[in-house]
Amino acid sequence: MKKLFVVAICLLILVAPVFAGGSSESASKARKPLSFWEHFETFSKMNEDLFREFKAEKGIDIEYTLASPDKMTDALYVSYRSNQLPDIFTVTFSGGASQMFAEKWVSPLEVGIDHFSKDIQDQLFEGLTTYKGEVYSIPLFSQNHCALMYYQPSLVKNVPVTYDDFYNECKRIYKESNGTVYGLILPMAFTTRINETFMYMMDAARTPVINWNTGAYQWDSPQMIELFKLLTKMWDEGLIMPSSVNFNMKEARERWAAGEAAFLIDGIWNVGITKNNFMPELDDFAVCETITPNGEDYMIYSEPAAGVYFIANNSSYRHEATELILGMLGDEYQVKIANVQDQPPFNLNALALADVHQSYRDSVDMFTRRMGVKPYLGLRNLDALQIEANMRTVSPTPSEILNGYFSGALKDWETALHRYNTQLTAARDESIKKCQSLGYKVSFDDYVFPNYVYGESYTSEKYSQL
Amino acid sequence: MNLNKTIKKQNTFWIVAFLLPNTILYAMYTVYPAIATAWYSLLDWTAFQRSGFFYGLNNYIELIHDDLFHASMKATFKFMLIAVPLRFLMSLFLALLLTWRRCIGKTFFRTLLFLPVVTTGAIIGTIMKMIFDPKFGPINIVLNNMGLLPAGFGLLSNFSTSLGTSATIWSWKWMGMSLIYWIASLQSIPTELYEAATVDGASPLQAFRMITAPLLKPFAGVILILTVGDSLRVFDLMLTLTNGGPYFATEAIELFIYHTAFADRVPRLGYASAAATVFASIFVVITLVQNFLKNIQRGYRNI
Repeated sequence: MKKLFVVAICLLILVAPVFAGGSSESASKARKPLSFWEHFETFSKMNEDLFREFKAEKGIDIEYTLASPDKMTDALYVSYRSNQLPDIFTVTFSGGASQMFAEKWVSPLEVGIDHFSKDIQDQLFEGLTTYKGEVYSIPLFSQNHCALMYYQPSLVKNVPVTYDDFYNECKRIYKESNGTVYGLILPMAFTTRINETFMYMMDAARTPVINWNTGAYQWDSPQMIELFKLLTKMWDEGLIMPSSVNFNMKEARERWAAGEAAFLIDGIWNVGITKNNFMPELDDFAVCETITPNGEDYMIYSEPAAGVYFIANNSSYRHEATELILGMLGDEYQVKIANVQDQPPFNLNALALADVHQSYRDSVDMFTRRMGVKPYLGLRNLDALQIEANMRTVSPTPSEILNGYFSGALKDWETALHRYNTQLTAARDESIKKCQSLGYKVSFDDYVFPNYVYGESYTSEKYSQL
Repeated sequence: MNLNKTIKKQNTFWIVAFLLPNTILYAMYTVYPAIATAWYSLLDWTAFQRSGFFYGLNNYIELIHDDLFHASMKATFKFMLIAVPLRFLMSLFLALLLTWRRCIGKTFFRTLLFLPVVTTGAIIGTIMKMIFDPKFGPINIVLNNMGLLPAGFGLLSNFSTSLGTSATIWSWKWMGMSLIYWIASLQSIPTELYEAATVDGASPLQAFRMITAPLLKPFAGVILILTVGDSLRVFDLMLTLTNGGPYFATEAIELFIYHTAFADRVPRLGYASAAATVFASIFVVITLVQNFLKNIQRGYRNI
C-alpha cells in the first residue's frame, strides 16, 4: 500500500506540469489574448487607446510587452526557437527581415499589394516589407537617421557645423564650467548604435562606408580617420564624459538630459523619449545638423523604409492582427505617432496637426532636405540579401576600436581600423562563396552600382539603367 | 535469508523511488541540454534558422583562431585568479573575527555580510555601476580626495582595472556565502582543544597555526572547489556591470557565449555551442584535477 502511495505521489509530481499546462491552455482558448511586443518606449501609452478600441470591437485582450531595444532581438530569437513568438512584434535587427521571411518566422498580411494606394505601393520593397509578392508588413515611419546633434541651448553658444567648430565649442563649455559639464556623451556600450552613427557620419563626410561605384568597403577612409582623430583628441583632453565607456543609450540620454554634457548624438526619438519618459519639463534642447569635416554640403543615406510590425507565423490571430496593423496607416494614428515624437510618421502631413517640440520639427526638416535612398541590393537581386545574412561577425568593430582607445586597451586605432576593413572584406568574400555553394545566385557585383552618384537618391529609374 | 532478501528489495525500491524524480529532472534539464549543446556545436546554425546544417568540426577550428574567444578565456581565468583567493581569504579572516569570543554584534555583521548574497546579481551590477561612476560615484570621490586616483578615472571603464574591480565586486557579493561555510567549519572544532592550548600557554596565533589551520584543511578544500565553481558563473553581474567591456576586458566566457548566440549581428548558435562545449570540458578538467589533488591529500592523511 505504502509503495503504491509513493509511486502515485511520484507520478503526480511528474505529470502535474503537463496537466497544468494542458488545462490552462484549454481554459484560455476561449479568450486567449493577442500578444504584442514592441521596443518603442514612447508608443506604449499611445497604443493603450488602440488596444482599448480593438478590444471593444473584437472582444480580444492584448497582452502587451515593452522590450528594451537592446534586448528585443534576444527575446525574439529565444521565442522563435521555442515556438512562442508573439502574435505581433517589432524587430530591431536591420537587414535581417529577408532572412526572417525566408525562414518563415512571419506570416503575410491578409491583404495583397493591390490593397494599398499607389503612394504606399511605391514604398513596398522586396526583402523589407514584401517577399515573393506577398506583403508582410507596412512602413509606418519616414526616413530618418541617428546622427542628429542634440544640444542644450543654455550651454551651447556657437552651434557647430564643422569638426573644428564642434571641438572648439566642447572645449569652451568644459573650460567655462570648470570641468563640470562635458562637451559630449557617447553610449559606447551600445556598439551597434555607435557603428550606425559612424556610418551616417561618413555619409555626411561624403564617403559612405561602402563605395557604391566599386563595391569596396571603406571603413578606414581618410574621412573615418579624421572623425577618429577628432574623437580621440576630445577624449584625451577630457571633453567626452569618462563614464561614456560603459554607457548604454538610456544612461547616456539621462545624463545628457540632466545637463552633464552639452551634446548627444541620437535619433529623432530622443525628443519623445526624453520628454515622455523621464523629463517632461525639459525644454532646453535643440538639434543641429550632423557635423561634417569642413562644413560641406551633404546627404545621408538610408535604405527604403522597412516594415515595423510583423505577424508571427504561428499566430492564430492573423486576420485581427492584419486589421490592427493596417489601422496604423490611418491619418489619426499617424498624427498620434507624430505626437509622441518618436520615429517620424510615414505621412509627414500628419506633422501639421501634431503638437510637437520645435526640435522634432527641425529634425524632420533635416531629414526631408538631407536624406536620400541608398542602393538596395535586394531590389536588383533578392538572393544578394543572403550575403549579409550569412556573413560572420567581424570584431572589433569601429565602435569597439574607439572604446578600446578610450579604455586604454589600444593605442594604434588606425591600424585596427585598417584591419577591420580588410577582415570585413574577407568575411564578405567568404559569405559570397558560401551563398554560392548553397545555391544562391550572388557575386561581388551585387555590391557594385556604377551609376550611383553621391548627393542623389538611388531611385527605381537607376536600377533600370543598370 | 529470505528476510534479508526482502529488506534488500524494499531498500532498493525506496532508493529508486526517491532518486527517480531527481534523476528525470536532472536528465531533462542538465544531461539533455549538455548533449544537445555538444551536437549543436557541430552545426552551422544562425539564430534566424529553425535548424542548422552539419558543419563537422569547423566551429572548433574557427574557435582556435578566434582572438575574441582567446581573450574571453583569458578574462575568465584572470577573473578566477583574482576573485577566488580574495573571496577565500577575506571570508576566512571575517569568519575568524566573527567567531572570536570578544567580537560584538556578531549577528548584525553576519546578516550585513550575507545581504549581498541574497540580492540579485543584476541589481548589484546596476548599483555598482553608479557607485563606481568616475565623476559622481562615492568610491571615486573618496579616492580622488585622498589623491589615490586621478579625476575622471573610471575603475570600471579602464581596461587595466575593470577586471580587478569586477572581481572585487563579485567577491564582496559572494563573501557572505563563504563566510557561512567557514563559520560552520570553525564551529565544528571542539572548544576543549583551545582550552587545553590556553592552559599550555599558547598564544592566539599559535592556537590558529597548530589547531585551527590543520583542522580547517579538509573544509578549505571543499570551500575552494565551491568558490572556483562559483567564479565561473558571473553572467548576471557582468552583463549589467560592464557587459564584457571595456574592449572585451571583462568578457568572461559566459558573456562570449551569450553575445555569440544572441547579440551578434548574425547570431550563431552552433559556434556559441562549440565555445560552451570547450568551456565545459575545461571546467570538467579543473574539477577532475581538484578531486585528484584532494585524493592525494587524503592519501597522505591516511599514511
